[in-house]
Amino acid sequence: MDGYALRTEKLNLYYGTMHALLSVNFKVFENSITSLIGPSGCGKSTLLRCFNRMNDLIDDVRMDGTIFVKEQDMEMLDIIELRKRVGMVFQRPNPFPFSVYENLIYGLKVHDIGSRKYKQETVERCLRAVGLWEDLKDKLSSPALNLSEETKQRLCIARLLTVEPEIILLDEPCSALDPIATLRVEELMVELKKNYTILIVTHNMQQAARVSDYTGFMLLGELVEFGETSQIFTSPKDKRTEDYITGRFG
Amino acid sequence: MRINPRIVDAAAKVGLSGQAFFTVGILIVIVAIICVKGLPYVNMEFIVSSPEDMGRHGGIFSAIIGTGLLAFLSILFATPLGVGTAIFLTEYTKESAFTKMIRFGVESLAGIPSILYGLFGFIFFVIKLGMGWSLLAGVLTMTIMILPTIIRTSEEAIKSVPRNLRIVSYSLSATKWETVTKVVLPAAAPGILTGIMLSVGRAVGETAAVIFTMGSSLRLPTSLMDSGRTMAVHFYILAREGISMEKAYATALVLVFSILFINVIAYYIMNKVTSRYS
Repeated sequence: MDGYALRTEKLNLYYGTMHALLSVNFKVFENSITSLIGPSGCGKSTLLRCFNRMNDLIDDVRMDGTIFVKEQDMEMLDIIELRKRVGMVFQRPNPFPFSVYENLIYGLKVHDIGSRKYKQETVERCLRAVGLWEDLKDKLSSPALNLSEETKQRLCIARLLTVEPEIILLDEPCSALDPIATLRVEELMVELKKNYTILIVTHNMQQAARVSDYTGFMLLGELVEFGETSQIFTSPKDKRTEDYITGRFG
Repeated sequence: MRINPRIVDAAAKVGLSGQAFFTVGILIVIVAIICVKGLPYVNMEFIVSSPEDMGRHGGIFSAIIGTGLLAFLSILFATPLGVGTAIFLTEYTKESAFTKMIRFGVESLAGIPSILYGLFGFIFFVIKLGMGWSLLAGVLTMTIMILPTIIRTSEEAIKSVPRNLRIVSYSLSATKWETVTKVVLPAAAPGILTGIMLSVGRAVGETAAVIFTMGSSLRLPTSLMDSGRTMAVHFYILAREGISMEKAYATALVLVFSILFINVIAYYIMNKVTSRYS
C-alpha cells in the first residue's frame, strides 16, 4: 500500500443540531477497496459525501476537523478540482436524459477537455473499462434512459471515469440491481482497483466481505472499528461490531 | 332517504359526459361557422396579395406578415427574459419573501386584462417614449403581456427536471452555471418550448393590446417604427366597421387555423416532455 488516499482527523459533522459524525478518524489506502458498513442512519453515507463535498448541497450542515486528500488538506483544494479528483457513483443509476454518447462526454464538455477525436477515444476506453463497449458501440446515439438498470449504473461509472478521477466513491451502487448484476459490478470494482482508489458504502455485509480490502464499521455517527476486512469479519475487536456482523441487530 | 348509489353513479356519468360534449360542441360549432362563412373566400390569392380599399378587396398578406413579425419579435424579447427569470427563481434563490413577491407580481401580470396592457403601451411606449404607433411599441407591449406565461411554464419545466441530475452534474465537478446550461435547460427545453408556443398563440390572437400600440396600418411594415396590422386586428376592423364580412370570416379562418396549428404543435411537444421522465 502506497499511502493514504483519504484521511480524516477528528471529523465532526452536524445537520442543524443533530450530531451526525462523531470525531471520526478514518483512512482509505491508495489502490484498495475500502467499505463502510453499518445500519441505516449510522452516518456512513454522510462520511462518504464529505470526501467530495456533496454535503455542501444540503442546507444547515456544519463541519469541523480535517480531511486530507492524498495528504493535502481539503480546505486548500478548489471544490471543482476536488470533485474532479474524487468522483462519485450514486445509489440509483442516474444517467442524464441524453444519448449514451452525450452522457459520457458530459464531464469532458464541462472541463472543455479534448478534441472530437480525444472524446471518441475516451468514450471507447471508458466503456471498455466497464465492459460495455461491445454492447453499446452501436447504440451510442440512443437514449441512455432506455438501458437496463445494470447498464445504466455501469454507464454512470464509465461517465465518471472519463474525467479521470483518482478516487471513486460508491454510495450503495448495487442496491437497485439484481444479484447477478451486483456480482458483475463487484467484479468491475476489483478490476478498477488497479488504477483507482475505491471507497464504497454498502448495506450488504456480504458485499463488503467479498470485495473490500479494508472495512470500517459505523454506528450512530461513530466509526466503531476499522481494519482489514478479514480481521473485521473474523475477529472483530469491538463487541458492537461482532453483534452487527453476526446479525444480532441492524 | 338515500338515493341508490348506482343511480347517482349513472347520472354522474351522463352529466359529466354531457358537459364534456357541450364544451367540445361549442368549439366545433365556432370552427364550423367560420369554415362555412370563410372557406369560399380563402384561396392562394387571398393569402399572398395585400388588402385594397380598406380590406374590401385583395388579400391579407400584410396582416399575415404583421402577425408573424409581432409574434416572432415578442417571443424573441420575452424568451430570454422569461426563461432567465424562471432560472433565477428556481435555481439561484431559495424560497423567501423576495421570490414570493416576484411570483405574486408574475401572477398579477398574468391576470391583467389585455386592454390594460394596450392602454399602458399606448401611454408609455407610444406617447411617453415617442415611438408612435409602431411595430416596436406593439412588440414591447406584447413582450410584457406574454412574459408571465413563459415564466410560469419555464419554471414548471425546470422544476420537473429531477434533482438528482443536478447533483450528478455537481459531482462531475460542474459549476452551477454549467449544470443549468448543460443539464437543466436541455432537459427542460421541450417544456419551455411549450410555453413559447402558447405565447405565440396569445400574440397571434391578441387585438386590444395591439390596436393601441401597433396601430392598424394596412401597409406592409418594413421597419420597427412602422405601424402595421395583425390578422386579429384586421378581422376586428373589417367586422366592426362593416367593411366586408366575407373578408372578415376568411381572415378569421386563416387565424383560427394558425392558432390550431400552433396548439397542436404545443401539445405534441408537451406529450414528448411528460413521457420523457416516466
